[in-house]
Amino acid sequence: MTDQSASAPILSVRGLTKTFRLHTLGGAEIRGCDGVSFDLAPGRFLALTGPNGSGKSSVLKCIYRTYLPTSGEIRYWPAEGPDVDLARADERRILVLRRREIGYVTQFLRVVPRVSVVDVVAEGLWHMGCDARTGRQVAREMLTRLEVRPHLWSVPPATFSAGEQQRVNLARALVLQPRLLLLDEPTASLDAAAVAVVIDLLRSLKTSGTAIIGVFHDVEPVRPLVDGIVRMQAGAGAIPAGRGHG
Amino acid sequence: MSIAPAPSAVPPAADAQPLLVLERLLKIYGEGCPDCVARTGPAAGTNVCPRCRSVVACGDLSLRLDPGEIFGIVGESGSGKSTLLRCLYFDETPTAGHAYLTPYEAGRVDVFAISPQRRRYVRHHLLGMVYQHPHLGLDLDTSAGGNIAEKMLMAGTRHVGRMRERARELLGRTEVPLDRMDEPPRRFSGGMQQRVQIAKTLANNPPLVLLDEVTTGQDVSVQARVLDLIRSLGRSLGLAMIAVSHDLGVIRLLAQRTAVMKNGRIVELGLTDQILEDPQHPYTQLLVSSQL
Repeated sequence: MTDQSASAPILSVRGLTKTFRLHTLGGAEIRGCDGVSFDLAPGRFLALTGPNGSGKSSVLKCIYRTYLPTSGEIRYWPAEGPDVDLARADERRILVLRRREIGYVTQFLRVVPRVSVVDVVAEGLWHMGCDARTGRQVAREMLTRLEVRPHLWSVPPATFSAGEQQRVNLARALVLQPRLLLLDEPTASLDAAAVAVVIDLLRSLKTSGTAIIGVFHDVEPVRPLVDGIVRMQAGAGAIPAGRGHG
Repeated sequence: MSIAPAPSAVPPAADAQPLLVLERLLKIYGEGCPDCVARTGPAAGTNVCPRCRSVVACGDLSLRLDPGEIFGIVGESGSGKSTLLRCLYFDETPTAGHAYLTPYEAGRVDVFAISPQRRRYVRHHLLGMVYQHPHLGLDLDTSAGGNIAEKMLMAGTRHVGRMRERARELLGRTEVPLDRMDEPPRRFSGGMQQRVQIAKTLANNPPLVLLDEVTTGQDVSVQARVLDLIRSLGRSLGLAMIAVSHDLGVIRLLAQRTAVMKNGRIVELGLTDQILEDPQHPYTQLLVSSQL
């Protein structure tokens, strides 16, 4: 269901700042992102753009809690229960949200050696209680839709090309139908045909209510899906732009 | 256009009762003195008390583990991580502290304070330990199947046919060729011995398995196979595990949360990806930046 009224956000980020303190370099400080604020409603797609080093990926990693935010608030409204500040929530709570409702597609595929593509994609479903057969079945369907060639399905993805790894990475997150999906340059290594497939998949996820935040160097390929843009600038706070990002 | 059928079952919530609660575990080798804890640890740069020369192997360690969770502990040798495991498995007697296991008396009784008989029950029914060296967990001269039967005997099983059947099932799961189950593990390769040890650990269906450097010293191909096995067993059997390793690569593949230990203390505890990508403590930063 698409929430066209779009009043109640699923995510609200306020003053999100990340600073890295490097003890190995005598306590030097490096800025990730600084004072980022935005709201996101179910079924909406927000693009984060900006030059290298402007902190786009840092925002995603703070939301997923791969980075510990230095200050600011990341309020998230889960499917059940009260809202939670992802910047400060207990790690065990974060793990449950990751397993059930928050997906993250990184730029790089990191998997256990020896595990086949099908199992890499099915694993999240198994963690949600899916049986082995059904999980693999759903994984195969998603791999088919992302046009990963069947003769690769039983192979561990370590030796795949960047484009193939990117698709496996996407498949792994998309099979779970997350409520909130974080995408870090999801189309960077894909050719035009593959980008069209991904756009199609993301559109149907949006229609089913998934809220999406994507980091893009170049937002043009996904423009038709985007409801709002946050432009990040190196060394400064984010400047929200575009039509109502909420 | 629909994407995929939604998965049916849903896992337990985070606010569900933890499987294990460990509170303020203290293990001191030596006589100990009132200054031991205050004068050791990462800030002091040692786990040896300057006053009484006792070794504070574990100083006030607390953690909670959820059912089905794999928890990693990483640290250099001498950081106290193996001592923590050995205290939990009753191989060592803690100097102080409490541990509560939800499957034992609904988590209301401190298992560090129960009688030796009850301890044996907990050790054989609720816990499993996989040691770095297979000879610590296996009788290398008793057949692979016999090793598993022995573990079941400890837990009170007497039915020979059932033990044999269980041994077959477990050795199958851990990819040990069944036509070799009557051979003593001494004749097996190191990787295969490790898989027999894992099978033996699982004999009585323990909800919590402790892994002490299980892949250390093995070829990388064997390592990958054992790690993959541990992950799939954890998932299919719903096992919770504590995996101790000095190798961040192993921890990254296995654990959802990780504690970093140094000089007998936990210096940092967090999501494993956060520990690796945004380490906070100077020691963790050094560890991560030294990773090959």
